[in-house]
Amino acid sequence: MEKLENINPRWVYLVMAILLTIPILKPVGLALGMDEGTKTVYNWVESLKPGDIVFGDVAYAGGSDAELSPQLSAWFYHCMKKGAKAVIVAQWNTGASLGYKVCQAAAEKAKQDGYSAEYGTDWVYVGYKAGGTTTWRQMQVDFWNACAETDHLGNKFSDLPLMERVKQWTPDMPVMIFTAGSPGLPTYTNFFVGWPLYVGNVAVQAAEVVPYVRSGQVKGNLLGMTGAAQYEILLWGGGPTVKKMDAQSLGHLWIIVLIVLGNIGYISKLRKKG
Amino acid sequence: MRREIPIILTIVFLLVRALFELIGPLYDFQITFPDGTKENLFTSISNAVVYMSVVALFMGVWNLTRNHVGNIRRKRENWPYSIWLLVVLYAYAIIGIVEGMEGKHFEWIYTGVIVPLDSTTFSLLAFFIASAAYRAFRVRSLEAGLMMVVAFIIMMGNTSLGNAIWSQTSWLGGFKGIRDWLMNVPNGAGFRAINLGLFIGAYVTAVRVALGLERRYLGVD
Repeated sequence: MEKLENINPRWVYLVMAILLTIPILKPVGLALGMDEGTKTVYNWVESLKPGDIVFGDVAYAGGSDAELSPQLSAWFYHCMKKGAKAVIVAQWNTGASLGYKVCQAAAEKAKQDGYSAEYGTDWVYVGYKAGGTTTWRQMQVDFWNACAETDHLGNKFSDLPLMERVKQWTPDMPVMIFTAGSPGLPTYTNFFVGWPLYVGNVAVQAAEVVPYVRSGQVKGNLLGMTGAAQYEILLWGGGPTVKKMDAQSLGHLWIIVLIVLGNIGYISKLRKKG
Repeated sequence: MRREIPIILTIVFLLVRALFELIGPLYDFQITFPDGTKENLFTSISNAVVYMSVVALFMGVWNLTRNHVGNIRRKRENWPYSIWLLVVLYAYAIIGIVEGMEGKHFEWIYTGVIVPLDSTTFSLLAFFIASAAYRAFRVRSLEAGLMMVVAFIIMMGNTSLGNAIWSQTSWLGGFKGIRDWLMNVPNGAGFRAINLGLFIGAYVTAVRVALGLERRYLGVD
């Protein structure tokens, strides 16, 4: 039994790889619960009227692609479906292009499904702008100047009809922040007091957001890949991320099994020593 | 004077910035340039910060280049990596400047190299966390046992497997219900205390800077 305390790490890695791969190739189809945060974000987008302006913030990069891109994709599609106008900024320069591709793909999907998702009139990808929180604060006073009057692709704001309505970032334009770290949510909790804030988080950051949700400053949050999968269920009745949840479940199960085995080995060793 | 001027500048801009937040109408205050053009004062200050961050970027690139050229010249340990770093740094920057953010080659490097490398590095965490949890989580004390139980509930509450074992619609809201309580009450209280401590610390530091007592940002003890 003591051997259980010293399993070769190679076996740990091999079993983990198998458990993560098989459910993606052949999903098990475990039922997923629903978090209040996911329902809040969904209901907020559902309540938007055609023409309402919402902001999105891509504050993540490739490392969080698996968790946050599905969230961004589903949320963005939902905005287009409701006829809301989306303006997307990016606090992370390393994630700006990634976010653009996610929005572009979601816009294409929305168009195929018969919703209006024209670039420049229904959505604009402003992307990364240098200057950090100072620039974000300046967006409230003079959005065009803060963004050097150009979007991610180099288009002038004056050529994008939607931007005529976004001269300033006012509190009637809520924001959904997809964040994997810093800079991220604190930019908004510190400098956007009075704006309705919604968050799409990586799972490891969930604990940090709780006080803001409890105080009401953050209205709702999506929690990692689980949040993305739940949003897909509410929006489409299922989706690609729902299938990945099986892999995540089995990965977690393996970690639990390893902890139990390790402790059996540890207790056996203690008993043997007396 | 080498110390006094930066301290005076810091205090002046700190007070100006604070006044903007305290006196709302200041945001509309216009300044007139010698050529007659007018600009919002807050916009001018914000733009100055952006220009400074760009200058800082160039200083960073210059410093990195100087260090790695030194490595290559003196053939220090692992000097070939310095060549690779400089090639990647300048080649990617030049391609980006020439082609723009959505240029064919720039985008290929981004989507074909940077994003997959970033994702792969992060994905390795699944393996390392499994191995680390196996080696570290031992019930050596009551506290360690408590932490293990909480970790188990949180993991189960976050996955569909947990919901399959103990459903959200059953007694106590299942693993999800207990997870929510743990996150909202003990964790929420803990993080709120940490945040309050952090912000009080930041506020005290700002006051010390404003009074000229905090000088470590100038490299002075």
